[in-house]
Amino acid sequence: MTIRLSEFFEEDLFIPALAATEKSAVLRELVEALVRSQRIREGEILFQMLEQRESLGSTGIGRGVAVPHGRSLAMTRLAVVFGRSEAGVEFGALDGKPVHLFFLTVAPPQDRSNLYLPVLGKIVETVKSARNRRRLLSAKDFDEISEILEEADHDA
Amino acid sequence: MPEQLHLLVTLQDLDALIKETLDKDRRAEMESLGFSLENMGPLRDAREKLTKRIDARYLRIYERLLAKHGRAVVPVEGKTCLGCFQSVPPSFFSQITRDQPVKVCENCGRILYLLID
Repeated sequence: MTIRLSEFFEEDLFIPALAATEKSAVLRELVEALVRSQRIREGEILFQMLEQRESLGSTGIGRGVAVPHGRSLAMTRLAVVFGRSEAGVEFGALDGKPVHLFFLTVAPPQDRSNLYLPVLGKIVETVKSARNRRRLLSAKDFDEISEILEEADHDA
Repeated sequence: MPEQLHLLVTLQDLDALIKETLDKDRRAEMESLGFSLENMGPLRDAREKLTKRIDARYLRIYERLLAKHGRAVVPVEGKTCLGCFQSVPPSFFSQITRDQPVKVCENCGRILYLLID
């Protein structure tokens, strides 16, 4: 399945500078973007699922990246919230380093489009590139983010 | 959302996570992406804590439905139960009362959760 990651990122789900400075608060801030944009009603249900997922093992995959994820009845369709922290947040990442790039990826249990795993895979693949990570962290606005993702889609 | 329904939806999400983690293929897929799924202990503890807060009669219904269908709580989207894909009757949409905070599908018996008003 060919996934174009740029199609799953939306401007109102981009948080250029997260206010949160610790793990739980980052998850809340990412979830809040979904509530604020009226994509979900029950933020608390989603937040609890994400906390439980993190208790299995951190979704901080190293190199300054975390991809908190899961399926929840709170969701109506797949959504990606992209948040950044210039200072970095201790997230219990696999390499022990602070996380700067957060890609919250959440879907309903019955994701009829079946895109959840392919999108997760594509995010992981895209951030393996040091150049992509650096550019995503320094992009000035959402348009620049879109360009980077479109380039990554094109290169794949 | 009434508290008891909120707890049941949270429990359903948690059970789906536990099930996914125990599924060998799904687990392998997630691990191949670099995600760690080592620590089941806290999930079991969270489940125990959560079930203690759920009214015994609802928990009984939930556990029975989970064993029967694999999924006990399902959303209503539009006017359709996403468990059996049958229409739910208009009475479902009448106000949820304190006496009846949890409603079930008249066709399949699953606990219904209204996704969007």
